[in-house]
Amino acid sequence: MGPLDKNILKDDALKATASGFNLKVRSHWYRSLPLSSLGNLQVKINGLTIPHTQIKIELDGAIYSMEQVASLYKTWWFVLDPLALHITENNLQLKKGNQYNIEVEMGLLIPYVLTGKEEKPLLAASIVSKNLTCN
Amino acid sequence: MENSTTTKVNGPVMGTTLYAFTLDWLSGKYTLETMLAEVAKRRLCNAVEVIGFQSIKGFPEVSNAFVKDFRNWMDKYELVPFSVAVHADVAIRNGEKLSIDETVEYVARQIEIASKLGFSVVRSQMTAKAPVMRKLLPYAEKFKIKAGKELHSPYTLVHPEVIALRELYEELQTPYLGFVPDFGNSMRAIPKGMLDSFRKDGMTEPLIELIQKIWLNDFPTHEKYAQLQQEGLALGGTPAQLGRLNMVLSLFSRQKPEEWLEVMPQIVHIHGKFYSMENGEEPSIDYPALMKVFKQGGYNGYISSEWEGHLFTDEVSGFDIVKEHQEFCTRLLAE
Repeated sequence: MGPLDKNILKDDALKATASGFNLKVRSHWYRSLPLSSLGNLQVKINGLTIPHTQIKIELDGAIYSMEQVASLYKTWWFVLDPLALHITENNLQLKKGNQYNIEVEMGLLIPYVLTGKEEKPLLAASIVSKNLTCN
Repeated sequence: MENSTTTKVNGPVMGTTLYAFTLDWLSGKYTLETMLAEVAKRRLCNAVEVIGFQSIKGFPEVSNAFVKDFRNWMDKYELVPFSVAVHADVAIRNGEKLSIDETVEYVARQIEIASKLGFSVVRSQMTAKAPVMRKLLPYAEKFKIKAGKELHSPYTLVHPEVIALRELYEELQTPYLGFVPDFGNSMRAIPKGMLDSFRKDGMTEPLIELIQKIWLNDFPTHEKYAQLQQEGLALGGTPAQLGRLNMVLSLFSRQKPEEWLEVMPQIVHIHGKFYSMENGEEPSIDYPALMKVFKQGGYNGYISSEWEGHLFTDEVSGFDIVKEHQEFCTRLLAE
């Protein structure tokens, strides 16, 4: 979309864990949105797509599955807070200090911008790819 | 601190919206207090507008402690809380849209909080349509907040939904409901930075020429989307590219400055939208003409310097360009 896409992945976003890795992703919109606005989220590491069943989302201390997201319209995602993605991944065995290519595709449903005759919320889509050093 | 409705303003006076500092805000370098301190330190115009859902965590649910802190910051930094940009998130539930009454409740809560924080105006959006505005009136009166519907592209004065509002206001004759013109509705050119960003994204020249041609057509902006879709597809534009070109219509219209005179008595606030400053002027918006219209038209209120160039560049400091814009506008208003 534009310069705000650079916020999605910051340099400190990637961290190895015992069961895979954590990835902090941030919004590319200018204001807070409900978590239900996360209409699309795809994560790739070194070209491999992470299935949604292997992703949990942590926000303000609570953990959600990707399946739950669409119904969470009363759960606010403050624009300055990252979503901490807890990702289960057993094949790569990430090591601190190593670099990995991370690609995040994020589509945000904007609840006050209606498009088309059916007045569907605008899907603001962004895709970023970045080589990140693992913490 | 009194609600700033009691503050009398003579003529158009410049103000500062924190939205202009979106890049700085999203960088995470500021808290709300340090951002307000920066506005004061740089001596930007002291009437402040915030976007509730941008600047305040948990908005519109805020603690009494936050309300106290916020009012203290306004005093400490000698700022005037003027406007809160509220949102009408009618599509917040994936699926069924909010009903009229649910939308009223959603916006009314934001009006109440704006009042608690000491503001006197809220900017509402076109997703809160005329029936919602009618039902918001008792809340606006109760909390002494003027609720202004933002007239932002493609909602020019000839849009059917704007006409419905004008009829409603005619019927109700209240000072508590009004309009917030956005200068993106009165542009003379598509900002060069936007066209350059299309090129940088790999958009073809025929597509860029198409959007310029359509934008210059003399029919209302809201009727141009279909033409863009049809002719853009014929030129091989992808859905993502056409979506990006749609932004031109959703941000910029060509309503003549003097047409604002038609709703002048109902204007409660103004968004002084701008995208760039070159040689001390805004090349894509005829500010000299606009300032003349609002000054001679008898507008007494604030105009927020609303830089939105962050949509296509992050090489500009919002604080620097707002300063330049406010000096430019203040000079025009003094003429």
